Amino acid sequence: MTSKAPAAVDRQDVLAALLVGAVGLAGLWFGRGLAWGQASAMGPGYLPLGISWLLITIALLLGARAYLGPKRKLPAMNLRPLAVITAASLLFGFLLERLGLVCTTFVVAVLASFASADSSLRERLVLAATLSIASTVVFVFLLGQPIRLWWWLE
Amino acid sequence: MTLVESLLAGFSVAATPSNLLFCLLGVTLGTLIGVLPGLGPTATISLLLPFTFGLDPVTSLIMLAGIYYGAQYGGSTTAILINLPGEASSVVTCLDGYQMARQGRAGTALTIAALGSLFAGIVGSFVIALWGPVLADFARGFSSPEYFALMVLGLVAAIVLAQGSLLNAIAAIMMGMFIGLIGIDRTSGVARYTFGQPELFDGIGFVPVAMGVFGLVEIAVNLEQTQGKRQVLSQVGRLWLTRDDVAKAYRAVLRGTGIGCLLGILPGGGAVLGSFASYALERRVSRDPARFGHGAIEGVAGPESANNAAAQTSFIPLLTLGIPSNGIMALLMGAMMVQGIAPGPEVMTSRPELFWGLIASMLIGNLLLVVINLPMIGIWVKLLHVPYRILFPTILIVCCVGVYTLNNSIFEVVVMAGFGVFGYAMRKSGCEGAPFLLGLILGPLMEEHLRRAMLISFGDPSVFVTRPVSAVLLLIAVLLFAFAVIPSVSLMRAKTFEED
Repeated sequence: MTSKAPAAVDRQDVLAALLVGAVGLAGLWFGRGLAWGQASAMGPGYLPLGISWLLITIALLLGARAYLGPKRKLPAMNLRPLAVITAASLLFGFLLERLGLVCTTFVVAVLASFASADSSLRERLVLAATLSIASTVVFVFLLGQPIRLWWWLE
Repeated sequence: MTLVESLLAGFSVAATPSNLLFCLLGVTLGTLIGVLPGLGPTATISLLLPFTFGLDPVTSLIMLAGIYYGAQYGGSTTAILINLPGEASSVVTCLDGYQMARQGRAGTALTIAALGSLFAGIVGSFVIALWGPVLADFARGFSSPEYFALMVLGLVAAIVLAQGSLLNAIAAIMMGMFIGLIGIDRTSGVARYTFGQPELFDGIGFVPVAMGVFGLVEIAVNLEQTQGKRQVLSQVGRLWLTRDDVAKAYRAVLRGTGIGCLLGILPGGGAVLGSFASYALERRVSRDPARFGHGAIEGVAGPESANNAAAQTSFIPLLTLGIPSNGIMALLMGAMMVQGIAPGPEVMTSRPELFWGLIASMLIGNLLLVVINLPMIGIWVKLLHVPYRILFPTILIVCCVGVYTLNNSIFEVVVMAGFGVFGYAMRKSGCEGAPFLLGLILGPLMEEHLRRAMLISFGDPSVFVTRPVSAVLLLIAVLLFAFAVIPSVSLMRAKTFEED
């Protein structure tokens, strides 16, 4: 498909090795105070630390395969949707107890809609308003969830 | 109690107005998400979980189960009409279903898919009713070594049957187990990886994790794919089958049902595997394999029966052994535990209304699904036109509100967002979400059983091989794994998941 020379490593395996290795190392580092115990009386660290070592081993194997195995590229990635979706969820968490459900849903829905480029401003606003009303009716009035609706209400 | 008496008792549970209503709600939602491409059963069940915790356990299980098998019906509609699988389990239905639709036989394809699913669903439900009690009786004598061995077998099967690389699947399971161990260790009382956060003392909730890994990641991945204009074939045509159609399809339905029932029971199995295996089988036994890919009715009848049969029978390991066989069952297992029910062989004796009520609801639900799917097909066709840019902010809001209402905790919203990013990295590095979720749910249980087994044996690991049942289970696990790494088999594994 492409005329470029094949990459020296399998990018997907490298990403996997980094991810798995990071979890393993974090497990060892943050669990360094946990006692191993022994097989007949396992301490709190027995399994988490054991798994961390296993994860590091897997990461090394993945790293080795990246060099020795077939060389694939990373699958197509576009970080904008992920970034916007993540930001929208965090914003929801930040605003909900400050502004109440009605406003939060509206703001978050408008922000989230920007994860997709093909939408008009009018459509974004109408959708957000609809979602704001719908979530109030469904979650609070119908399902009776105790969520604050406006910032002045308890 | 005889089977008939148990089933009647089940119907008296499933036929109460509220259970009927939630069964209908479940299968309708299932059809809806089956029809909408880009919203799968795992994501839907995870984002609806918070709202089911207020319901009676039986009612919530009836609804969640309905979503799963309902999605198998709806998934075929999209596959046939727009050549886009609504569900992973309908991928192979596209091959011949869409060709049938282009030849003006969409109605025929939809009918055979629905009727095949109905037959398979009924057979699958009876398989649960017949084999469930037998397996539960067998498992009642299990103690920690057997449970540990069983869970190892379940995880190995999940690794072997996962798509893609074995190493990545192992990594996904192990990361899941690690995350599952966060929180206060129940035996020693020591806090593990909690960073002093009281919210983490009870561990990371599986619902926010599942919502991040399935819900948010699905949105992000769907949005980054460039969406071409889909051509919807809204001309459904005649729904009736001709005598010739029936003659060609009924054997495929029978074979699909059989293979689906079998693969559904296997740990690691489920609807997706069932449909792929059935398509491969149909092509092999056909006298004229060249017709496949050009609108062969068997290519729709077999896989669509198989995925529904497997969707039913994959409940067997969960309800009788307490072992989830796939990601969705892991979610349901988590839901049961939140409701205070420990899934396992005791469920059948301590909560018979749950087991039999669920089976009866499956029989009712499958009938409802044919009504929902065939006469009302026009409504679902209209829904195919809903653009994703409207859909995804809706899904996101449901995720956010749902995860917040679990414990009225902002912290869990943040956890969900974090696992969205983590899940995206996993997806892009070839680690699937389903094995991760299995590890997450089984991790703490395995630790407990391993600990108990080693405590009884004074630290002697031979306890796992001297007890016959656990020895056999572990032997199967070892053989299965060895089998999967044999080069010729791993090639076959890759082929099963290929699309043609």
